[in-house]
Amino acid sequence: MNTKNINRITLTALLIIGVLFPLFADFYVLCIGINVLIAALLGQSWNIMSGYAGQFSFGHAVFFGIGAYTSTALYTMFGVTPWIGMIIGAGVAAAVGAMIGFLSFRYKLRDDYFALATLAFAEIFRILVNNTKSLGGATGILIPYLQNPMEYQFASDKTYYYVILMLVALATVYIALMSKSKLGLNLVAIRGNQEAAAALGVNVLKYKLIAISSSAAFAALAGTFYAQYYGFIDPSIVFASSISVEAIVPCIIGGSGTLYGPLLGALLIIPLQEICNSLFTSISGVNMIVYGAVIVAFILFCPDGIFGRIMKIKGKKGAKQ
Amino acid sequence: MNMQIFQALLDGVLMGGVYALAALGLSLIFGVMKITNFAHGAMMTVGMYTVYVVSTGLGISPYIALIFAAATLFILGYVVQHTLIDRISQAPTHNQLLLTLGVAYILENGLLAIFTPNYKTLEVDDFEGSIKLGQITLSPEKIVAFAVVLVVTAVIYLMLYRTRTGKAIRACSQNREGAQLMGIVIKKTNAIAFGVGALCTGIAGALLTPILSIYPTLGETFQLKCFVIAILGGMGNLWGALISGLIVGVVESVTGYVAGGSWSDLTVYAVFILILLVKPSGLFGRSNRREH
Amino acid sequence: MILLEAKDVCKYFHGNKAVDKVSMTINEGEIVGLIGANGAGKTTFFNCLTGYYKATSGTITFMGKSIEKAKPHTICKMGIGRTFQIAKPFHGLSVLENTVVGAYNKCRAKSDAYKKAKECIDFTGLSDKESLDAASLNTGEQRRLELARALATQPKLLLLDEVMAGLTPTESAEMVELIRKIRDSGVTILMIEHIMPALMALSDTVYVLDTGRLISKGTPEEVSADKQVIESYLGKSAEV
Repeated sequence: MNTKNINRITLTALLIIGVLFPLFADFYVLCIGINVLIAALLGQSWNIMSGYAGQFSFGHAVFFGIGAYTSTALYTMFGVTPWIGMIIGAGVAAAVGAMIGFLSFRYKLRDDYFALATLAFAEIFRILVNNTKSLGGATGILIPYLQNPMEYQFASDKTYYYVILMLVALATVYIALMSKSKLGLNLVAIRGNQEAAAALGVNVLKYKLIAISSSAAFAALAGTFYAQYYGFIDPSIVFASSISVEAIVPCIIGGSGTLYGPLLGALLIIPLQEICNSLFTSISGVNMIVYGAVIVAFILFCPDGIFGRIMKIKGKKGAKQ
Repeated sequence: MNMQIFQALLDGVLMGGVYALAALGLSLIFGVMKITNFAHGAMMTVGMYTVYVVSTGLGISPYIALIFAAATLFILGYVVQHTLIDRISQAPTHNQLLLTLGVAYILENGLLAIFTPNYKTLEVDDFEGSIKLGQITLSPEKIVAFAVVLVVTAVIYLMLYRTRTGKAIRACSQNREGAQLMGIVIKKTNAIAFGVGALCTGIAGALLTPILSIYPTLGETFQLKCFVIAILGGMGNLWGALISGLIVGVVESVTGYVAGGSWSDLTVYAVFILILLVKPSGLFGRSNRREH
Repeated sequence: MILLEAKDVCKYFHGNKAVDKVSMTINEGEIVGLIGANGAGKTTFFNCLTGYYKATSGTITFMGKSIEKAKPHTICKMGIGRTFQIAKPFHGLSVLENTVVGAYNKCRAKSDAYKKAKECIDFTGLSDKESLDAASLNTGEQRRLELARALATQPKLLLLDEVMAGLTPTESAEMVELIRKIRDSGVTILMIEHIMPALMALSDTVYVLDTGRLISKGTPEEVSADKQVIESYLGKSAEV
């Protein structure tokens, strides 16, 4: 069986499960499903920039937060429907991403230093919004709930579910097309070795900026969805470093730089946390201990993630033939 | 007015000393292992809770309980390096970073599970009231903290420059392969270095316990601050970490006084990004940044 | 016709003269060799030519255009390809995809890029490995991949940085043939090499660097008869 077939089968299976899932889920399980998909979207977003292009971000919350705040502020202050706000938010996040990227890459920040810079940018945005009264400051913004689909508000969680499913599908298709195109090859080349990529005529700065901007745009879409689904945002939620981590972990588990890795990762980690929560109702923190243990276990024993490991085994077999 | 600035300045120096000690540990760990320790803040909190538990449990002064915190953190750091990080010493840097992040989650939420998210305040009866110098008020806890920082730092320097182990640690931070050729057992030296680094942040946490109300995620606040200080001083440069700690303490305290608390963090992070971009080797030169 | 002309190129690192007033002229169709002991500044000079380092002073012109301030990818676009001393295959991409990255330098359409890449892979003898992950190649194959990628950018001038280091004698002999074939296909070559017989057999002109300075140039025969060269370089290696 070749990779193409495996991909096709995985895709079909995932789609069928994804579409049919709400028919069998009660309210609670559906809610978990939505959270899985939010994590999957964040994961795919991180996957573009850090998985494929190899620029390790530790501050994806900044894009998530910008998405959430842009659409919400436009809606509550000017009555712009979040459907449009979502697109504007993605645009703003892409621009901010390009700015962060330009500064960091221009000054040749790499590895830990780049990760720390993205972390600091997320903190700066959190503090800025925290101190901006017109954006609700630290108290945040409550979105009036009108149940109007035109305003990105739905009566049923099932509709929310299908909206986020569509967004995840969009991100996945984008990555699928990207990974076989000139863009995708160049990004992986940059991840492998920037100097060697440049020697082959790849404009490294330009492609890194494309990676961070598109990555930022998808994270912003997740941010807008979060705001509309929960109806409330504040800086300490949407700009939190835990959001940045939530973008990373699905990729670590499923395999960063692989098409389906983040989906699988989200599918495993979110329900696992829910199970922990329901098992240990009286003790807080157990789910996060497990979360930490899963990170440690994967980094130690399966650093390429599940899909990455499978591909490596297949690659070795191929080499022997 | 002027006196208040002076007060902010002094407060900044005293707190800066404690930051400096924690950042010294971070810088030491980075210098030797080239690892950005994301568990540094959580380890600090472990130090805080150790002091809290020992001090309330045995009814002794937190400044004696501090010794328990130091020992606990040294062992913790040693074990984390020896059993976890050492296994992936050849892995990409971001994997090592994530590993320490995982450790941070485990520690922090372990504390949360045991002690609940509620604030805990240590009643200190070692001192009566505060010290007044004219219009300036100084809390004795902060002065003692600063004094302890000076002593601990001096001891660590003596250890690094006078003992065999210390010299091995410094040799590893300068040239790993060379150190290995000289017969230094890298694995053990690394573990000791991580232990000492963790001990620094543990003592810093212990010193903060009588000053602050503690809760399991408190260390996060100091985590990024430690990164800022360590990078400002040049990752791996221990003197740099000390001086930058004082600088950050003062900048924070003075901007806090002039513009309000929440802006002080903003200033610190803005300076941080500026340093990262313009002079990632820090203010004082030598940095052990990985070359590619 | 002169393809590349470097005049008085200097590169200082913190006051150390890594490259000190080196001038070089490369004519179209030549194979030019560059030799010198370790630390003589050969790779630094390469990096100046290809935009990885900004020369401290001096001028570099390629096909009449000044390139000393250009970025690496622009220089590649203009027609200078290079390989690295340590092969740098892109893991996670197949041999073919690795080469396609280079082919996109000149090809716009995907089909053209894949066609060009396949050609280069055939040319370097990697056809049976094209669908393997580049990480699974051995040293000799990695070198060939470096060559295939650089050729796929369709360079007029190709800079080879020790492509024979670490190869078995058989592999080196094949590499010599390959380099000849590349030259015959119309690509001019500047190569750094430590394997003396290979270099002497291939080169039309040889330049000798010693501690950053050019100490000799000429045909392989002239250079190997040069007293200064023998003293500072060849003699030492002969004694070993």
